[in-house]
Amino acid sequence: MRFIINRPELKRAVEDSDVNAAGTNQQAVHLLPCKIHTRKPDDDCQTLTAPVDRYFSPYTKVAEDDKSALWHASLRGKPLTGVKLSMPVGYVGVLCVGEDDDGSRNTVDDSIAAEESVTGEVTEQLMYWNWDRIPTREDPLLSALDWVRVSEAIMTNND
Amino acid sequence: MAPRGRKPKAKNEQDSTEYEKNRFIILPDALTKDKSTDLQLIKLRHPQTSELAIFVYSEKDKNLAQMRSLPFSHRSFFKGNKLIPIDRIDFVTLVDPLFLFLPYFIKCSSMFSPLDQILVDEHLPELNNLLMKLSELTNLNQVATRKEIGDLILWKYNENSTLEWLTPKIDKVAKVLVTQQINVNQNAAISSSFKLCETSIHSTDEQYKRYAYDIISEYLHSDIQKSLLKHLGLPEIVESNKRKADENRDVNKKVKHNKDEYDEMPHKVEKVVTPKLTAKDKALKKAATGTKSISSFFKKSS
Repeated sequence: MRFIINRPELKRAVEDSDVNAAGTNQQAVHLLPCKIHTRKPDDDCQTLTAPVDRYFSPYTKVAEDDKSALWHASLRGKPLTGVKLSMPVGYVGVLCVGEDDDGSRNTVDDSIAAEESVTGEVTEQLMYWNWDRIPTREDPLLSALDWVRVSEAIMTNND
Repeated sequence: MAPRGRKPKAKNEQDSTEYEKNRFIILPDALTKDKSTDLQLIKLRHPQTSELAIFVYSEKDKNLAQMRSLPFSHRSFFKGNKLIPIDRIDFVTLVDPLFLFLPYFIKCSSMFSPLDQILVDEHLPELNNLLMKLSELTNLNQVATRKEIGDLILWKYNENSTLEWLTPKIDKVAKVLVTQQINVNQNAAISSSFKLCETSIHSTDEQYKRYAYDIISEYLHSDIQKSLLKHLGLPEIVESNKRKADENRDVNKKVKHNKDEYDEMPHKVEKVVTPKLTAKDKALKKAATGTKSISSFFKKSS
C-alpha cells in the first residue's frame, strides 16, 4: 500500500499572516467529540460537505494569539470547549480521506503491499474540542502525544 | 451527531471500523518533507509477538517506521466544509530495524551464518528481500558478532552486545519519562497514564527504570526480556503496594476480562496486531490497572 502525502501550498501563507488561523481559518481542521455518520445506504462516500463555516464559529475570550487560550463553540446547541493543538515538534498530522467512490485510486503492484493507496494532506495544527471538559493532558489523544518522545528515546542510537 | 442513548450497543462496535479509510496519522515531519518520498505501508513481523504489524517504509530515505493506533471512535473532523468521521488516530514513529531482526538472529544463534540465511522468514518468503534491504540501514555489530572466512561474511547473535545496546536505551527512556512528567507509579495509576499527580513526584529511579523496561520490552521477545531484566539488576517480580493493589482490585478484575480497556491505554498505543497472551502480556495487563479512567471517558461520550 502506498502512502501519499500532499502539502498544501497556501497553508503556510495563511499561517504567517494570521496567528489566529486555526480558530477562524476556513480550512481549519477541527477534531470534534462526536461521530457524525456520513455514510448513506447506497453511497460509499465516507465524507460529506456541510455548511460548517455558516454554523460553526469558534470564539475565545482571551487574546487570540495566546497559545493556551480556551476556545468555545457549539454544535447542535451543545457547548464545546477547545484548545489549539500543535503536533509534537518534528511531527505533523496527516488527514486522510477515504475516496473509495471515485475510482481514481492509484494501483501499485507490490507483492507484499495491498493494491490501494492512502492519500492525505498535512496539517500542522488543529482545534481539539471536548463537550463539557476543558482539554487537559489526561485526554487520551493529548497524553498519547507523549509517545513520540518515548519512541525516539528507544529508537535513536547511542552515538 | 452525538450518539443517542437508545442506540444499541452492538452498533457501536460495528462503528469502529466503519470509516476505516478516513484516518488521521501523526508522523515525523521528515517523512513528509520530500514530495517524491516513496512511503509504503508494509507488513513485517512484530519483534515481540512475531505477528504481522504495519510499518511505513521509505526505500529512498532509508527509513522504517511503525504504525500504532489509538482507538478513537466517536470523533469526527471538520476541515473547511468537509465532514470526516474517524475511528482511530495512527502514530507513526521511526524504528530501528535491528529490533525486528533480533528474533531472526536468535533463531540462528547456534552458529555463524551468512546474513541472507539468517534474515529468512519461513512462512513469508516474500519478506526476505525486504529484510535484506533493511539490514543495510543498521549496524549489525550491535547485536551480532561478525566473522570473515575468505570472502564470506558470517554473523552470529551476541547476547552481550545486544544487552549493551539496549541498556543505554533504558536510561534514555527513563529520562524522557521524567522530563515529560509521566507517571510511572505501578499501582496508583499507570491508570491515569500521563496524569500529573502528586505520587509521581515520589517515584523512584527504579520505578522509572522499570517503566522504561516495560516499554522497551514491547519490542523484545520474552527471552531477551528476561536477560535484560537480569542485566539491569531489576527484581523479577513486581512487588505491588498492597494497600493500593486492594483499592484497585475490582478494576483489575475488570481489566483482565476486557481487552479493549487494555488497548485503550494511551501509553501503550495499541499495536495494529494484537499480541498473543504471553505471561508478559498478562503482567502488562495487570499493570494497566488504571485504564479504567480513560476508557470511561470513551464510554461517557457514547
